Amino acid sequence: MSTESRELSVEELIEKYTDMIYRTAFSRTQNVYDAQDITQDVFLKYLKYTGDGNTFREEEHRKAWLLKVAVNTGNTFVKTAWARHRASLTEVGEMAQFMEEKSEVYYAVMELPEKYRVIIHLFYFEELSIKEISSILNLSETAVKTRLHRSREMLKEKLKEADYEF
Amino acid sequence: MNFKKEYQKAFANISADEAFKKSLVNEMNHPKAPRSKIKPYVGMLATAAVLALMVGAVYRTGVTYDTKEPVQPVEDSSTVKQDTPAKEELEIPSGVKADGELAESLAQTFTPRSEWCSDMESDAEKIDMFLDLISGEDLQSLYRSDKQGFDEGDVVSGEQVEALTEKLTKIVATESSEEKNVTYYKAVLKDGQVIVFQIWNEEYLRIAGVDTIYKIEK
Repeated sequence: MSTESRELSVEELIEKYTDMIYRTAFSRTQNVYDAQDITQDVFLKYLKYTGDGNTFREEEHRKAWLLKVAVNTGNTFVKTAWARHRASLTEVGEMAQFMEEKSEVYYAVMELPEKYRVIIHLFYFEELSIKEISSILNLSETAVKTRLHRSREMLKEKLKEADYEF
Repeated sequence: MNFKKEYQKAFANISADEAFKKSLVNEMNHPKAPRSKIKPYVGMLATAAVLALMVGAVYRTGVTYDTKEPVQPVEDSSTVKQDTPAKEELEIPSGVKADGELAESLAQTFTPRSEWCSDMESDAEKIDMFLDLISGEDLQSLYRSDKQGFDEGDVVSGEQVEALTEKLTKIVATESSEEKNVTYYKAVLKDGQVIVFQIWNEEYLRIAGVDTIYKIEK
């Protein structure tokens, strides 16, 4: 259900959306500091965007805009030479220390290629529709469905002993 | 077990720490944050207004106003020459002249065919998408012909589409083989995109835009 948007204070904006952007960025970069940099960058872009007089009619539009910018900023980030040559799986392990119990699902997803991780995250965590994901990632709906299908197949293979329902 | 529940549980543990959030709030509330493009505009508008008033005052007093100065012609944007054509031209081999059906056939042959899979990086993804598209609700119509170029009489019936997609369920990548007894196909999707593919000897499949050749297993 859509909710009408109202202007948010900086504090409200940070409280409401930081974790969403941070998780999306982390699922992409697998690195805490990179995820922080991307989150910060997204909010600065948001300030500039709204400072230029742009508004959001519905709260869902604000959320979609932030996710789209997070994904695009992440794309630019992972293409940098420095990011490409940096090992990140250590960070995946370090992040898992904070979990109450180690999750095989978390590790299985983190082992997927990055383009699949983002789709899994947006679909299963943010609970976005195929149409919304296609708009955020600038892909056709068929491409999103295909990638989702392929990532599920890979996950089923990785998690075959546990017999998960997707 | 439910994957979604487990994934949400795992990722709920990943969150930005409070110190980071606090630093974000500070940074975004900082006067130098790139928040306002409007205030400078207001200042610029005010300055422009003052300048306009001053210039207006000079004109009214008749100082330094030369009416003989020729007016520079303004270039009509509709007549500006374009260096590049508006539409991407089809790549037609030199020396080929065509009109009517032949032109259409050539256009069908040389129009870029890989738009439908431009989102995909690997052939494995492309073939998955190809199978989804031609066997799913995205398909508008399928044409089949023994020669390149298609007309309305080449449209394949729903049952034949079903038989073909059933046949294509089992395909494996293979080495290239000699293309004999080729059947050409054109799938038109509901969004207007086109996929062209061909099957030869009833057992090899090649799709425009996909480098891999596939063998259809029985």
